[in-house]
Amino acid sequence: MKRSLHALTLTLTLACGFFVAPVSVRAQTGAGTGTGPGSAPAAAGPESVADWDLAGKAFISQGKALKDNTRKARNVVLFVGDGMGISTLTAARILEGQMKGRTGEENRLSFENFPYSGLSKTYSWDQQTPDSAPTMTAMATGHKARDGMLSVNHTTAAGECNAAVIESKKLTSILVLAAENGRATGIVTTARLTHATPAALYAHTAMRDWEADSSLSVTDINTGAPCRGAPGAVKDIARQLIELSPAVRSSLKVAMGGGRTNFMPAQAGGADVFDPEYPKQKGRRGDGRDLTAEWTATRGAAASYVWNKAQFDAVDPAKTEHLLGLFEPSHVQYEADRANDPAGEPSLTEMTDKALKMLMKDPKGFFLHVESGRIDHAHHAGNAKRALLETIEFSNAVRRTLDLLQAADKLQETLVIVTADHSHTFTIAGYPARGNPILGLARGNADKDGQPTVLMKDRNGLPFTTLGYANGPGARKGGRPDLSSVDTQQLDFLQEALVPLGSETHGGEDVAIHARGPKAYLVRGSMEQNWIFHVMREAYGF
Amino acid sequence: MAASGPRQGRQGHPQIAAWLAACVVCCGLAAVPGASAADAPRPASAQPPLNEFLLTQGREPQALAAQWAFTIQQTTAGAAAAAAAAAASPGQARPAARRSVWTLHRSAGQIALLKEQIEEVWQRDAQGRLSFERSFHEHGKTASYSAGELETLGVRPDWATLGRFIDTEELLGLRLVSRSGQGAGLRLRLEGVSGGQALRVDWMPALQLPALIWRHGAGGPEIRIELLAHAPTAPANWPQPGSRSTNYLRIDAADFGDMPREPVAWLSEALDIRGGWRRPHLH
Repeated sequence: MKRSLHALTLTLTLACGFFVAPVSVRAQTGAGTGTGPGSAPAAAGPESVADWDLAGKAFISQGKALKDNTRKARNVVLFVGDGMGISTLTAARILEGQMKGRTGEENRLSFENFPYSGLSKTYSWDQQTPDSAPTMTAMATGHKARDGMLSVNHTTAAGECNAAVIESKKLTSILVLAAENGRATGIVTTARLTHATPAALYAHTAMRDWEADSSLSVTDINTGAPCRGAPGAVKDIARQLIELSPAVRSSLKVAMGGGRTNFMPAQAGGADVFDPEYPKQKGRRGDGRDLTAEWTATRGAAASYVWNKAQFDAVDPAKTEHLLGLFEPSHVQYEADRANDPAGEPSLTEMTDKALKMLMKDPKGFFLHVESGRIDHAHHAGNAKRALLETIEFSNAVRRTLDLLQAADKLQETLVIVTADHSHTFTIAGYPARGNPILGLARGNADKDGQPTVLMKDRNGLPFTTLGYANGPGARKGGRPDLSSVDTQQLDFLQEALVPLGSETHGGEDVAIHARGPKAYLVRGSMEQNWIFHVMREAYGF
Repeated sequence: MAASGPRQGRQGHPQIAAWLAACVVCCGLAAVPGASAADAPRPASAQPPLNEFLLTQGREPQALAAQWAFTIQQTTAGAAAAAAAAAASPGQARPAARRSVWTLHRSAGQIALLKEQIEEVWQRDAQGRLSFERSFHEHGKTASYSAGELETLGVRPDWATLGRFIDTEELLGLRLVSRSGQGAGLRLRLEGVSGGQALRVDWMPALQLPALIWRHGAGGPEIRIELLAHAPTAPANWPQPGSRSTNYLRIDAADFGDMPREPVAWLSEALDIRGGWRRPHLH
């Protein structure tokens, strides 16, 4: 039975063209794990002794059968998990597996079955540990840049407000190249649409925080010249999304995420303009412009703007040419909290699904960027469970993408890259037993087989969780707390941290790149983050 | 080109320390039971029968507006006795005191505390979800905490507790010293020690508000908060929530981690921590 299961797995793997974990599916149990009744540890995996050899041979067979896809890519999908470091991938895959009733470690997130992977060096031009602006600039334009800057080269001065100077420093993104080469384009994110990661694809600014015109500094910090509202000042990011070049404006078929108030005026006709979902929040635009109305006014009769789930569901991709979706005043809800949203909002998977159905209409192909923006926010808050649930939803979005492409017979002509912009200080530690709840207290195997797992304790006799942070809100004054009776798997639990900071910080180590499709084999080994752009461009053949 | 600005340890930044010293947050809205006080042991002096009397459990405090005179005075170490004596004589002039007026607006959907430098506003929507905004007048910026962000930080405040102006757990840790008046005019004098400081509260059960808060610890400042007036609705000449901050630049608290150079992020985080947020909760 087991052998036939592996044979089936192998067959499916080869047919699908990417790796599937060749591990038999069994519930967590000590049965069948190997050496006889009474001799098994209390915690163990589902594998038999033969499974290890079979799985290894299957992997080699898959590798031998793998043929480099050298064709040009008609489509490229760039998935970015914001702050999705490798420890986040590991913990999320375990949590996803455990949510399915398995031990978890053997599980794979959807993109971990891709045949090619590499490591991305994330430092920016001026920082060892970067923020999202230069890292996405690197992936989007092929150039490492300065901290906080979007798609301008590293000679740009901090706080530069002069539009002419920014124009001279700007870098062309892969989205713009795709548009200029006739592709349809799209952006989907759970962060604000004007946030650093999505914005690097269409905006050029020295300050990532200049998302609405009211965010610009009053004067240029370098020259003292007027900035906010001045004729020669750089445009805010939301405005740049609306006032794209003709080619990009025509190509950008779909843009969905949060950040609604950056597109809404603070006042109209002398009266305050309030958010439709949160009636006490005002628009943020001081110039009086309603950019959501401008989107529909400038994109033709088949353009739509939606801000809630019902409107989103009503959008027919076949009849809609340009779709703007802004589902929250700021970032959209965490996936864990999405069901509580007053007006309802789509999941990342649902947004990705809709975007793909719009973009796949274009016979010339497309470029789509999908960001899971809130992995980063949950980590900053020191809240691992929300970060991991975001990562699992991100994996779901990738899976849906593959399914849709396969169903449309476009999988082999689509380069799919899944990566992160940077890491976090998130750790998986201790010696927990196989299948130990990843969000729980670390419990290790007993010295003697057959005995229950043992709570691991520090030098002071206090238990600790498997997950933690090197810094952030989880640090406590006066030594470690006693977590013996604490539900560390609760959604709002904040993992312990070493260095006390109000917000946990990014991490500077490499992140993973997973790739499949045309020219995906170019993703290999240790890569500079900006080389991802070159892989995408090479795949397109621009 | 050298990297500019600190990327870590911002809670210890001199600017923040100075600002916090000048901007004392006395219990009040920033302290959320369940975050801070729930972690602390209840003093043995707590008297359950009094609890019910103090808090009229099960009922939310009535809508109203109130103003207090806030006074902070630096004292030298060892001057606690003198400060305590001075507290008994509120009219006595003291050197170097800093005074301001605090205004509370309390209704079913909003609880706002307006101070000289900071405005803190809690909103409750029809589903009962809470959001929070903290405006910094000196900086012209507002830090916004969505319902999801509050939950992510482990902050789940009780609406009734927010409206009482003082940390309920702290209040319940005090002992009853005396009572005066009756009915709607009843006042309870409560005393004890909280956080290493002597604390005295004159509590008005009918309003669910303090008429007086006085606290002092050895070597620390002496703080006095005294009720000036209250009304079912705020008179027109009282500060209104949002009147100063309506056009401030809003910053999502979810973005603080990406804003290592933003002073308002530092300040708001520091106030969060002072209020017991941004740390593990042992529930």
